[in-house]
Amino acid sequence: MADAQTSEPIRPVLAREPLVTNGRSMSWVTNKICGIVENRQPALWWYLFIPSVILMGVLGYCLAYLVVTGVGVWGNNHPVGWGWAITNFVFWIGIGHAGTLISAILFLTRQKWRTSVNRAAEAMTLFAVICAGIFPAIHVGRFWMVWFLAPVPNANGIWQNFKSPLLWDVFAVSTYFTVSVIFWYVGLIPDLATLRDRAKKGIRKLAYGFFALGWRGANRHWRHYEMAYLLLAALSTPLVLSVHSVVSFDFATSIVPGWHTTIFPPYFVAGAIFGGFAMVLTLMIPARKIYGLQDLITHKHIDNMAKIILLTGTIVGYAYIMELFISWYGGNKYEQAAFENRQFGYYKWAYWAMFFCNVISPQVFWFKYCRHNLWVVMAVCMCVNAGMWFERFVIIVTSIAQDFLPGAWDFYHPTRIEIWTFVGTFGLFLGLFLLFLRFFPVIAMSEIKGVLPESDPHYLPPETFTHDAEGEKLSHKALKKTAKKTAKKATKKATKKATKKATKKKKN
Amino acid sequence: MFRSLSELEQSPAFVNRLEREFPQGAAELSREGDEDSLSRRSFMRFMGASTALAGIGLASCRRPVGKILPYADSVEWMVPGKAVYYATAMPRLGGATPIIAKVHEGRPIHLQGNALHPGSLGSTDQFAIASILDFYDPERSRSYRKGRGDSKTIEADEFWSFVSEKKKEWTSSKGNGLAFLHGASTSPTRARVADLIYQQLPEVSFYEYEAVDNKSLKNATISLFGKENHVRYQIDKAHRILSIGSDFMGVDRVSDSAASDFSMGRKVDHIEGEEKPGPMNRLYVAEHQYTVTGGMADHRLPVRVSEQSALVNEVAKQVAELTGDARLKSLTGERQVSDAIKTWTEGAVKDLYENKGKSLVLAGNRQDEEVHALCLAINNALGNIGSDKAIDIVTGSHPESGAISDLAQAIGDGKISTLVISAESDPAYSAPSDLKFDELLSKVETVIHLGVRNLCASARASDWHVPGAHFLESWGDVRASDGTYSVIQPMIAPLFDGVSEIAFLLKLLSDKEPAVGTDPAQEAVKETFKVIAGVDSESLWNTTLRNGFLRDSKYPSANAELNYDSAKGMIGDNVTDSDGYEIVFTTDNKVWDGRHINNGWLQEVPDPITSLTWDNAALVGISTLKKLAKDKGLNWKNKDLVIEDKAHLIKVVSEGEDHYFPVLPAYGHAKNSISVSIGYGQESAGSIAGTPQSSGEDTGNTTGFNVYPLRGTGSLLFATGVKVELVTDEVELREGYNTNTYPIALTQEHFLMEGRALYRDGTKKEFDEESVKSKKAQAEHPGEEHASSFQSRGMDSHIPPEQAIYRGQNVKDLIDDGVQQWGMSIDLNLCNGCNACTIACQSENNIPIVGKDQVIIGREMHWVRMDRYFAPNTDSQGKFDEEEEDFENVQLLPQPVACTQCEAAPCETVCPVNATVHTEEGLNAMAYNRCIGTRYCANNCPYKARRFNFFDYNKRPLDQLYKGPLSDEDKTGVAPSLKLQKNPNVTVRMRGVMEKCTYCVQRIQEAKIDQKRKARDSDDVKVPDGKIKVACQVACTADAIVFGDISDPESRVSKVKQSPRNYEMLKYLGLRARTTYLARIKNPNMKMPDADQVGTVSKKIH
Repeated sequence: MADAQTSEPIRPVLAREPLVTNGRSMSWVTNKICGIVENRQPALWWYLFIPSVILMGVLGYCLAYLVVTGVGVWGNNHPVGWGWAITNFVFWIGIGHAGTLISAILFLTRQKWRTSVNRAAEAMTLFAVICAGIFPAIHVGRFWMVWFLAPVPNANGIWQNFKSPLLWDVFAVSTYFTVSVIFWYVGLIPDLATLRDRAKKGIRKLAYGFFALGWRGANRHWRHYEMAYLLLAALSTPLVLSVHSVVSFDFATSIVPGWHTTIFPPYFVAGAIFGGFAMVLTLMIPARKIYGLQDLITHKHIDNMAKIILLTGTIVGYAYIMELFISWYGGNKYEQAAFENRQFGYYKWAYWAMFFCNVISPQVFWFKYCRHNLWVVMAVCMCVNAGMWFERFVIIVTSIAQDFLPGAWDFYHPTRIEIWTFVGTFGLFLGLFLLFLRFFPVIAMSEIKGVLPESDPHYLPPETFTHDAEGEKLSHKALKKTAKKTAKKATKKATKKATKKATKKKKN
Repeated sequence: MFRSLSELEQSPAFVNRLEREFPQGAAELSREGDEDSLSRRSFMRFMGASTALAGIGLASCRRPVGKILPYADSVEWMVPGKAVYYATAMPRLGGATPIIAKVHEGRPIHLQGNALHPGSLGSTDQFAIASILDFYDPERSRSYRKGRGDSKTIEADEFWSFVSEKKKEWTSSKGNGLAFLHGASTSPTRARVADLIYQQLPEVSFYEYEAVDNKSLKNATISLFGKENHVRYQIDKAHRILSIGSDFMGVDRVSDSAASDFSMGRKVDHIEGEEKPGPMNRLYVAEHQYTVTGGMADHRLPVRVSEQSALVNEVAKQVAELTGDARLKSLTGERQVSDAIKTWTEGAVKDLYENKGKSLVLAGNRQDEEVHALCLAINNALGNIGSDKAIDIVTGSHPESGAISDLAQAIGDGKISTLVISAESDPAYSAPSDLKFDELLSKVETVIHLGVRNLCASARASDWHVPGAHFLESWGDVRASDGTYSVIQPMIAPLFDGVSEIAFLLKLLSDKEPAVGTDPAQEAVKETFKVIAGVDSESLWNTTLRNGFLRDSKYPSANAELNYDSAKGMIGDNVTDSDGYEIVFTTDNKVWDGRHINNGWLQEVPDPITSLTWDNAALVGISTLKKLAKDKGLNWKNKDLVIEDKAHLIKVVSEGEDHYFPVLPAYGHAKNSISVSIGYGQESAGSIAGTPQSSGEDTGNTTGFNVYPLRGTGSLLFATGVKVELVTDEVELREGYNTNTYPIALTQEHFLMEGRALYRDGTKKEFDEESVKSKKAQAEHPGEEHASSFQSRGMDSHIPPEQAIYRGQNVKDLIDDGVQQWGMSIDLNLCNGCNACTIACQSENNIPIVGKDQVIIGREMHWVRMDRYFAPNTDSQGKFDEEEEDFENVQLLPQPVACTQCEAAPCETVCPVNATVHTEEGLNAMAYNRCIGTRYCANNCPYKARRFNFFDYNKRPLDQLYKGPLSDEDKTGVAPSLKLQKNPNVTVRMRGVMEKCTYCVQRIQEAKIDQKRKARDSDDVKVPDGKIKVACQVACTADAIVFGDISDPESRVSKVKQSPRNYEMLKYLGLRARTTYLARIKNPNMKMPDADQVGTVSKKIH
């Protein structure tokens, strides 16, 4: 843009930081992302995948042992009916929130930076919800009777209790999962088609072909696709807010001091986004490095997500402090005691660990240096991951361990089975995520191409050289020429077809 | 119309057949109302009536069966699911617990007190109710065994042929060398049969042994009042009671009805239509350790046992001074007491003196004869002895037997060649350690053991073991503490072919095979009965069997004079007070002297004071424990005294041997005193007692710590001058088990109420004022709610006024649909926290035990649990120094908590599958089959009254819960004998299911069905008040629990709830609990030093 310099304003307009750096072309994007799926996985993939599979086995063993023996293999006891299981459930569900938030809310608000992280975040959501879904199902005493939760008409004439937040949970989580799967899948279709087109071997071609649903990238396809995607985004958006609100109702609608709090729905949603983004970063920063996606997932993305973590972390901190204030201001003795016990009681280590991890540690993101130093970002994200787990532990366990009657107080300690079950879900989560990396385009190619400068219809490429697929430099003029040629060819073809059709019609 | 072609044809053959089938005029039989004709209905009526009459006749005079047959073929009058109740009695130390056994299809499943019995008034305790589990103990002796140590099973005949051989020997030597060692018993038949043996073999000797006895009182009575006399305590007659170390409501059984007698004097409310309660009694207790009795005290003083005799001396001196009784004065000695004791006793004695003739001074079983003698003399001086006074001297025989020390002497002298042990106290394990009784037994040529347990030390030390019979399966008799005679009748044929003591002695007497259909034991009892009743009347015998006791068979009053000379001879000045540590051997609240060691219910029911289960421990006061720590160079604060789920250990050195005990900080414990309960640490205790100590920390097939080695003949009650130190380094607690702490299972770890007005109390004065106020308020504003000061304490003083949701509607009409509404009231003023309700509930509702390791985790299943709080003395702000407080002068506040059946139950809204729902009668019902076990309900229950089956407790052996279906011992379930105990009307819950109290809904349903059957077509389907008695209510000796229809203003429960003391726990939550509590009222003597603290615990809470 040589002429632009002549009409330079008095104060320079800062160029927007590009979403894809190093001026990567569309074909580079395609090659890069499809390459992950098509080429051999790096050794590190196997080093992660094999332990994950082993942990999945451990999880399977723990669950089988639990179901055949009884909930007693966990450490739950009489005041503490819910321990790690529900803590883990809320933890995983919370993690699942970032994905849908990124893909739906940011889509609706036209936040273009979402494109390079949404696919992985959505996949993470699904896997987190799968991990989460395990816990409420198996924490019950009689697993084989879980179907009582489904509104199946039966001879007893007993229906579900629609007053119970636990039942709302069942519906909320299953709806969330279903919509998330559909949303994720719909977003995948164009990319699956790309993979299909590039696939050489039979099964691969067949599988991608099947799931690509005959996508040809036609205008009409795109129109329908984008409309569907928009609608699904609109459908998912309230779900982001509703699921964790409903999960928070499990506690908020009860009468247990420490649970019975009106602040819970927004506080839980904020916490979920907070924890979810931390998990996205936890997964994406190494993945970006391993697969060399630094040009697609740039520092800007990380910076943005760090800012969200800072914001939601501060909201969470506000909620913590507000809870304390209300318990003091409310003057309810039981409420006061519950919060006093949290801070200074038996489980005070959990409370202060939570407070440090969730409130103090993200504050470093006020500084640009910290948002850009990946080690710091990773450290904070790890803190947040742990902190969000502690938050659920603190809420669930400390409240019921010491509630109304001191005579009934008792403490809770997890057993090995419980710990391994939780560790096992990490295996499941990571294993599924690695499989996702292996078989699906980790970044939404079709969408990221949409944010490349080239995809702007008014885009005027600079009079410089650009790279072709092979990395050879091409002049701008040459590009224009080839473009004209292909356009001419296309019109020729189209007119030929049209005439052919017309003649056919006539013949008929 | 015709029904067949032949009918149309009217062929003769058909008409003939028709006539045979439907005779002419047959229809007429059904004509109702015709006086002359016999209608079908009237026929049925007559037949029915005669059958019923026959039934009644049969019921009152049961066929005199000698043998009870197993219930194999269905019996005509036995309806499955419908219980039959029989009266019997459980022999107890110094008396009996008359019992009504609930029998289902020939299996006794539940025991409750016999309310008709004049001596016990329906009193029971945890031991009596739980004894049914002893009966079904899978490890009860099942066979005759031969050989010491590793014995082998033999046939009964082998033993009896051995005996008949022996008998020839005995007959020739007149029984020389034959000795019997039996337990204390009040059975007239046993005494008579023993006498018959004595007549046959005059050289035979009898010895009596109980590890826990009331011998000191007995001996004192005999020497003061004469040989044939007993002391009968009538605690209901006493207005002022001073108890010196006597746990008369708990394990010191001074009479069969002590707890209920006491509670009669504790009632304060005048319930409409009932007798006005008399003046409230006042209880002073001086004891070394908290007991349930001490918990009921208005004034309590922690005093070391070794100082208590000095205290009694001081009391005697003061009484002598006040009464001017020189003879009493002459009995007292010069003993020094501390100023604290002096001022305390001065206040108490003055009060006793002011209530002369209506007071009582008692000493406990832990006191020696001197103390008892002095107490009797004090009572005599105060005029408390007489037939209508608190102490009645009655005439009744004492069976004459030697003591175990005499037996030891005789064995040592080689005089005993055959010893028959039938003492339930297991002498080889529990006899005074200096006798070395187990070693002595090896000197006896032949030892025969008769007992229900073949695992006990005595059985192992015997050459022959004869399986004993439980009292529920044998004939016998017993005299209650007041002398009332009861017949023990069997409920069932002996489960494991056991032989009762009487049957055994009879068999020794006569070799003859009894005639078919007769039972020699029954004949013998009947024989005794004839002597005691004075008539040979079959109908009186049957009445006695039905009622469970013989009317008017009490011991007569003796009008004996106190013999001061022999009292003087008894009381010496030889006691020296020692300053060192004393170790007190207390009777265990769970296993008694060790005989209930394999009884899971008793093992798991928490100790009323320490809430300890499955173990015993040394109890040491806070300041003493800190001192012990200081000796080790540790500066312990209160929080260091306990470790979570573990206890520190102490070492007691006695005769050069080290004994280790886990130590629990005890509240309200006297300084420098250590109490350990007896009965634990048996070498072979059975598989239930021997469950793993905690998961992963199995310390062997034994439970608890044996105290008997510390207990010698001279120190049966307590020992002084022992060396005690805290263990800090690891020691070998048992072989291969090195530790410096010991896992301990407490059901309640937090003992402070934390400034929450959960338990409410007040003083008599305050209550009287509130009663007047509430009556006035009721009269001025009838129908309006008036909150008494008891009702508005703690958070409840902040409840906003109720706002009607249904505006413009008459809520009353909506509610008043005529359905009975169940409710309950628990009177904390009467409840002493004995835990009998917990056991009764467990028995009635098939509640499983979970084992020690599960209790440690906090998974006990009791539907009604006893929360107990300790309230330290505080300043006017209700504050105390938590770090420095030594909790010596604390008040014990026991509070039974079960599901309160909230009308707005928080558990119901949260259950996702509608497994817990409200019935229209206001019960919070559980549909066990529907429950999937989310445990959300339990989380949301503010009372934490819900219990979850974390494992298949009803199906798996206790030590293999974690193995699930891989549990190898009996994969299909627990021992078959334990299954027989289950109540068939209550679901046995599987794992993964939530359970809780449902007000014994099976009893409610039974009563409703019964009422509907009676009501027939009429609308009179309401169950009359008092018809339904829930299990805990029946078990409550103190009558603290009232259950009934709260929608009926005339029901007892409604009237009780009218009291200004009535309050709802956690009312602030607005749950509208159906179970409410009545505040405890204390009756402090304002002249006592601690008077301002008594009964003011909840008043200071805002």
